[in-house]
Amino acid sequence: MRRKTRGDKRSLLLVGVLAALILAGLLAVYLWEQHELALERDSVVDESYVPSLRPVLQYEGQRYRMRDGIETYLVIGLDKFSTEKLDPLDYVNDQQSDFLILLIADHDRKTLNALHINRDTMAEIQRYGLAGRKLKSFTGQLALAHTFGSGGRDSARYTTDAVSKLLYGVPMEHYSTLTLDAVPTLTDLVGGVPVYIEDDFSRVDPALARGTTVRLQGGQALSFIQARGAMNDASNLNRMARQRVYMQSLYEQLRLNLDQDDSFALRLATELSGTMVSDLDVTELAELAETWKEYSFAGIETVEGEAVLGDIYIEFYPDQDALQRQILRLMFEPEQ
Amino acid sequence: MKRTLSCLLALVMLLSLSVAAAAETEQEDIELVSALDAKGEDATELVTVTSFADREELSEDNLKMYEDAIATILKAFEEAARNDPRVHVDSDEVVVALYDTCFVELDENGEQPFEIEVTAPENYKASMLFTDGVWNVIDTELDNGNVRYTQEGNAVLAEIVIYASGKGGDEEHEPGDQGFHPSRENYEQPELQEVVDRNGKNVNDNLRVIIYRDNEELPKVHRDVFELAYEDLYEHFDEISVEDKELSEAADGKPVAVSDAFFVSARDSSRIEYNLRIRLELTKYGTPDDDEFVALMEYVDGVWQFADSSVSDGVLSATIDHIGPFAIVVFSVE
Repeated sequence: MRRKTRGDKRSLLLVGVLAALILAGLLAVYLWEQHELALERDSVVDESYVPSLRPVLQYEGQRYRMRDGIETYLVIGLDKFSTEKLDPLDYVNDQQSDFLILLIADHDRKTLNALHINRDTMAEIQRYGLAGRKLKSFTGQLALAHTFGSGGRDSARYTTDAVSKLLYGVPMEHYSTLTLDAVPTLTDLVGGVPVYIEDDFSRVDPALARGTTVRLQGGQALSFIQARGAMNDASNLNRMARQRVYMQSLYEQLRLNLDQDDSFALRLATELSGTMVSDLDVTELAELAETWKEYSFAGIETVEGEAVLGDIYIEFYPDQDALQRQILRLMFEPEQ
Repeated sequence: MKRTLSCLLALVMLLSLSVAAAAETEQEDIELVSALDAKGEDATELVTVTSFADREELSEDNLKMYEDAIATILKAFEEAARNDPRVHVDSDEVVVALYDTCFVELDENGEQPFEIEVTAPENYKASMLFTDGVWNVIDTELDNGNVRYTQEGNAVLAEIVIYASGKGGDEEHEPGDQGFHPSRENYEQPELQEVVDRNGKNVNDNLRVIIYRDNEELPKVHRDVFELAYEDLYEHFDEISVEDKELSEAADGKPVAVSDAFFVSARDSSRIEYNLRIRLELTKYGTPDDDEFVALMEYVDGVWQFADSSVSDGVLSATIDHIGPFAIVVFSVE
C-alpha cells in the first residue's frame, strides 16, 4: 500500500535517481520484454488460429493445387515508428500497412520469389469491434486492414487474412510487421544500400541527386522508399518501384553479409526485434534467413492493375485475370 | 520475465514520481500531508492514500467502493456544481471541473474521525467525499496549498478545480489537464455534427467526442470513468447484451458486438441544459449500415444501458441527459 507524505518526496527523489541508474542497466532487458509483449498482443484473437487450408483453384477449366514445397511469409511495413504505445484492449489503431511484400519460398525447387502488393489495392477488409468481434466487411485499401485491433499480432493477422482473401485463399503462413525505424536499422546493419536515383528528390533530400548511384544510409533509406506527396508522381506506383529497387539491392547486401558473417542472421533478427511483431521468434527468424540464403532469388514481381483517384484517396484495382495467372505460376501446379 | 518487467516498471514509476515532484509541471496525484486522530494526536501513519491508477492494491471491498465511486462521480459532480454554493460559480468567465480522486483508508486502530490534510492543486475550489455509496460536498479548509477536512471510515476523495472558461478553443491548455487536445491523424473519430440543448441552443463548442483509443486526451477523472466503463464492456458485453431487455429485444436473438466506444465530454458540464439532441457522424469504416445498427448504449452510474437513438446515412442521432461513455452496438457476423 502506498503512503505518501511531503516528507517522502526527498526520499522518492533519491530513489528516483537510483532508479535512473538501474534503469540504464535494465534497458536491454526491457526492450527485449517489450518485444515479447508485442508477440503476445493477440489476446483478442482466437488462440487456435491456424492459416487456412491450401486452396484448390480453377482456371480455364483446369484445377490447380498449391505445390507442397511452398511456404509463404508476408512482410508488412507500417507507416509509424515503434514509439507508439499499444494497448491490447484497443479495437482500433492508427498504423496502416504502407508496404506489403509476400515472400514465397519453394523448398523443393529451392527458390525464393517476392510479390509486391500495392497498399492501395481495393480489397475486402474485415472490420472488427471490441474484443475482436467480427463485424461486416467493407471494400477498402488493403493498408486499412491493420488499423483494426490493437496494432499487435491481432492487427497483423487481420492483414494476412485480407491479403489471403485477395490472393484467392492462399494461406499466409508467417508474417512480420515492421515499424518505420526498422528501415534505417536494417540499412545500417548491412553497411548501406546502393541504389540508382531516378526521381527528383530535391524537395526531400538534395543528397539523393537524380542520375547518380547513392549508397543509402540510415534515415536516407526511409526518404527513398517513403517519399510520395513531395514527388512528381503522388500515386503509390512510383514509390512502389523505388521500394522494389531498394528491396532488390537490400537483398543482395543481406546475402553478402549472411555469406561473410555466421552470426549476422541472429544479429539481424535481434536488432530488428524491437521494431517487429511476428509469429516467429528471433531464433526462428534467424533460421529462416539462413535457409533462404541458399535459395536462388527470382526477383520481385508486382501485381498488374490500375491506380485511380477515388473520393479522396488513390485506389488500386488489380487485373484479376493477370493476378490469378501470376498466383498459379508462383505457387500452384495443375491437379493430376 | 514478468517479475523483471514489474520491477522495472516500479522503478520507472518511482523515477517519474521524483521527476514530477521536482518539476511540478504535470498533474500530481493527491498526496497525504498529515493526519490527526480525534484526540488531536498524530495519525499520519494510520492513513493510506491510493490513486485510481493504483487501485488494484486495495482490498476487494475497497476496490469495489472506489469503482462504484468513479462510476457515479460525473452526475454527482454536475449536481454539486449546479446547486452547492461551495462548488458552484456564477461567473461565465470561469469553469469548475473535477481534478482528481483518491481512496483514503483509515486504520481501525485510530480514534476517528480524523482530521486529514492532503495536497491540493493550484486552482483548488472544493472537495467531495464518497461514503456509504453517496457523493457529498464537504467542508474544507485551504491552508498553505493543502486542504484539511474531517473523515470517518474509508472514503473516496475528489478534488475540484476552477479555471478560466477559455472560450478560445482546443489549443488552450487548462490547469488540471482539463484542456482538449487535437485528435491524432490517420484514423477517424466520430465527428460531432450538431448538439442542441433543450432550449434549442447549439452547444457544439462545449462538447467533444473522444474514442477509447484517444482517452488520454480526456481530463483525468473522465479518463478514469471511461477506462472503468470500457473494461466492463470488454469483459462483460455478453452478459450486458442479455441482461438489458431493450438491447436483447433489438438484437432479436442475433449475435451483436460493439463497433465503437466513445466518451462525450464537456468543457463545462455543470451548465449543460439537458436533454441534449446530439448528431454524430460516425467513423468512415466504423459506420454501421442502417440495417447493421442495433443500439446506442450509455454508461450511467456504473451500468451500461440502452439509449434512445437511430442511425441514418452514417449519422447517429440520440437524445442524452448526461456526459460520459457511450457504445455503438451492431450486428456481428460471427
